[in-house]
Amino acid sequence: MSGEPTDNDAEAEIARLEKRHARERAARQEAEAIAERSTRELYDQQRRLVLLQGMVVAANEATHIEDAMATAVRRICAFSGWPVGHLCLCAENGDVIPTAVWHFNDAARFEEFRRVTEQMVFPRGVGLPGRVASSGKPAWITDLGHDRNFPRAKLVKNLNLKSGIGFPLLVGNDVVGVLEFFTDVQQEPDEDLLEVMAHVGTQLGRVIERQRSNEALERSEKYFRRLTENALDLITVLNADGTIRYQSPSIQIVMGYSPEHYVCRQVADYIHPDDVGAFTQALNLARQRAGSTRLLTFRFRHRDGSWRTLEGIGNNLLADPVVAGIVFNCRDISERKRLEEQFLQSQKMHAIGQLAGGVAHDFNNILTAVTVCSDMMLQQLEPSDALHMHAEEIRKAANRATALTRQLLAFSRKQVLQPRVLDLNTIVADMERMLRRLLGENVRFVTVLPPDLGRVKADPGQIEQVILNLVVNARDAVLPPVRDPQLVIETANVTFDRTHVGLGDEVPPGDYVMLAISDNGAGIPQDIRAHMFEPFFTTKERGRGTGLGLATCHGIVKQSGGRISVYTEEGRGTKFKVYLPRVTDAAEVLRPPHQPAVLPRGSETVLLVEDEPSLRNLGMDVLRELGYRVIPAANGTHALDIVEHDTAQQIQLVVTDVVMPEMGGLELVEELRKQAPQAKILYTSGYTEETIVLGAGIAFMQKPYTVATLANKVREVLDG
Amino acid sequence: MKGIIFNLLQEIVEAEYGEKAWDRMLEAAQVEGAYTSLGSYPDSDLGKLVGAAAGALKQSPDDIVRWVGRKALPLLAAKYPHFFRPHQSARSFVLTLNQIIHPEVRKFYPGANVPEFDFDVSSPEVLLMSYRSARRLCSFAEGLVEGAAAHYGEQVAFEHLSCMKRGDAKCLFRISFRKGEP
Repeated sequence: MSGEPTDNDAEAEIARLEKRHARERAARQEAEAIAERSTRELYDQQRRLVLLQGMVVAANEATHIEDAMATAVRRICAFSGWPVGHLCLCAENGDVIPTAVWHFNDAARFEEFRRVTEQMVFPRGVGLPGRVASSGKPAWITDLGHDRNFPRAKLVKNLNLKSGIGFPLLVGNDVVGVLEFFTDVQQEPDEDLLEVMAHVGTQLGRVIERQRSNEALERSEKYFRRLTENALDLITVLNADGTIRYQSPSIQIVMGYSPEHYVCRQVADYIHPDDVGAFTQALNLARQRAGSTRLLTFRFRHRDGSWRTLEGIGNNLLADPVVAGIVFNCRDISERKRLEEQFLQSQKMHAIGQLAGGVAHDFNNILTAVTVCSDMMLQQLEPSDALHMHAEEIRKAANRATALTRQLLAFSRKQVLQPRVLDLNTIVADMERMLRRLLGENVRFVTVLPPDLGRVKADPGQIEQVILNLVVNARDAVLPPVRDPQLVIETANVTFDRTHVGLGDEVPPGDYVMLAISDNGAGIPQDIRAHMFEPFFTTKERGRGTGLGLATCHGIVKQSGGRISVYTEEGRGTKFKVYLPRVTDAAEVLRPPHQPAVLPRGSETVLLVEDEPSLRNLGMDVLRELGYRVIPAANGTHALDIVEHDTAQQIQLVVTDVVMPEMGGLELVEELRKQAPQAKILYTSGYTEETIVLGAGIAFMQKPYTVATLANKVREVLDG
Repeated sequence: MKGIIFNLLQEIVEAEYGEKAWDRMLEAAQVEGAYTSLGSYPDSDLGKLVGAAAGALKQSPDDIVRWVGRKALPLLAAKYPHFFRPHQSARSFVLTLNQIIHPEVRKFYPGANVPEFDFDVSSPEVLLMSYRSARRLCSFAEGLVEGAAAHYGEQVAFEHLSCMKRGDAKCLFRISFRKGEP
């Protein structure tokens, strides 16, 4: 066999090459087909990507869920070429509710379909939306007209809609909505379309989830904002440098400024200069440690310039990325502070009153002895006698001391009141001449006394003392250099309701009569206002005032069930207002007591009950001197013993002290009434531990008394 | 199976034995032979071609497949150098099969059904590699690993501990790489 190629070899080679060319041609054709298929797939993929990207953009840009859904429905219709798209949402009970989110390629044609659909509700498993919601999976209906679970079959038949698809909008595994699409071409399930729809469903589910999260967040944010904004406490967030970053709206009510006013301002600018140091120190300490809290009390400036006391707690939340500030929660405790001060003041006044009353009581007993002894000396000494003058001086000094102790008792509210129904206008009118004289010609004195003024029940002598004391103070306030000095006394009917009566007020709501005494004088400086009702507190020069004037007024008004208030402005004047409870009884006519020049005498039997031996002996001497038969007793028990042994029928008058050891005057009288009902009673007292309000028919004699007072009062009671 | 495997086979056969040898293989295997790299072709075509080669070269089909794997690797390295360049050793390269190479293969050749590998790297000297594929082309993997060792100038020793062809659930190789030419 030669090595030369033969024709057969050549033919075989040609055949091989032809086959090879054929294979290569086939491979090329296949490669072209693959390329074409790839291009088509790329195109489809691109369309899907565009659709999904559109969904993402719509989802991110939409502020409302409906906007995102409308865009989604429109884009899916454009992508699939299906003419009708619609959104349904799932209710909490699982029903699927059609929404107004639609897309049509011909709105007029599908109007009836839209209207009917929107009136329907699809329970789970019912209709296209219901079965998608129930299964959580897409549903494809190739032939709508013959589907047994499609309530709108008749409608779609009329509209010539052939196929439909519904797919779920999923949040996790929960179906939150269903998108349904319809086409007028009968179509078999398209896996590609279903795959795209699954992606879209997941995307839109996320939109709904995000929207719901946002809504929940918004609700929560609103809830907590409302809580903060409606809290009566002040909530302030400070930056580390002490500037205010946030201020809750309640500040407007408490401090008068809007919350915005404070933002970016230094909190220290509003704090009282005396409190800034402590506040800053506390702030620094709080700033040093994350999470630390500080309790603070400080004064904060109101818009009107006044200071409000705030109590607050600061919490360092600088390290908390959400807050990143120091949070103060403050409360206006000005009212509480005022009440505390008022309470302390009242406690102080009560303590001073106790002291003053106690001193006055013992002092009155001593003064009675001094007065009665000096009276007896004056009766027995000739005026020419050198001792007569000394006795007179003793008597005058005793008078001055008596006036002082009476004022002390008035302040301590331990006087025995003899209240009457009064017309304050009459009292003011009766005093007017005396007051004009007191004020002098330079002071313009005006009275404003409305005729319809109501009545009050009070001790007239006490009320006169109140008026006198206030007028004397006013007179001293309008001394030169006050120009055109004037003093006004006015009365009026006033009614306090709950809105007028604050928590701290000591009088209940009701009808009152106001007596106001105002002047245009110097006013009362801020620093002494707190002390002005205290006894022995005076701004007058030495010797001009006892410091008991306002204290007395305070005591009398309080004891009479009223209140006294003061409004004063430095350099402009002062107005004292006395409020006394209004009564409906008619006013009583007041008669000045008759004091005969010659001491009246008698021969009746008098039981004299007095625990103080010197007073008992003096009283016994005076009454025996005046012709009476006197049975002395050291206290109530002793008196009852005497009456048992003696004939009770003989006693015509009992003169008894009110406060005594073992048995007091009131108790004694109660017992005595059984054995000696005929006996008349005359009470005496330096003060009473508990205030005794004696009725109009009960006789009373205030210690210290004079010989004349004792003689006259005993006769008056025996004859009464 | 993706056409690229057939293309590689054709390239190797033609390079080693000439154009005619490939044509003869196709004739002997009785397959169409029009393979494009992106096309998908029946797995049986490869079996037929390997069978034809084994018959012609008087070798076992596994040896043929292993030889193809070994010869294919330099071609792949020339075609896709960026998969090889980052590595200094065959072990490091082999370990990227699951995480890098096969995901990329799937991108290039949509529908490619690549095998699964698992590695036990607890020993620095020995690499335990498991192979799982319905095609049971463990010899091809073995050849490729040998090719990779040669690419990085290393020697490699295999122990085929278990094999799917023997009824095991997966193939397991104990592989030792050593630096230096054989």
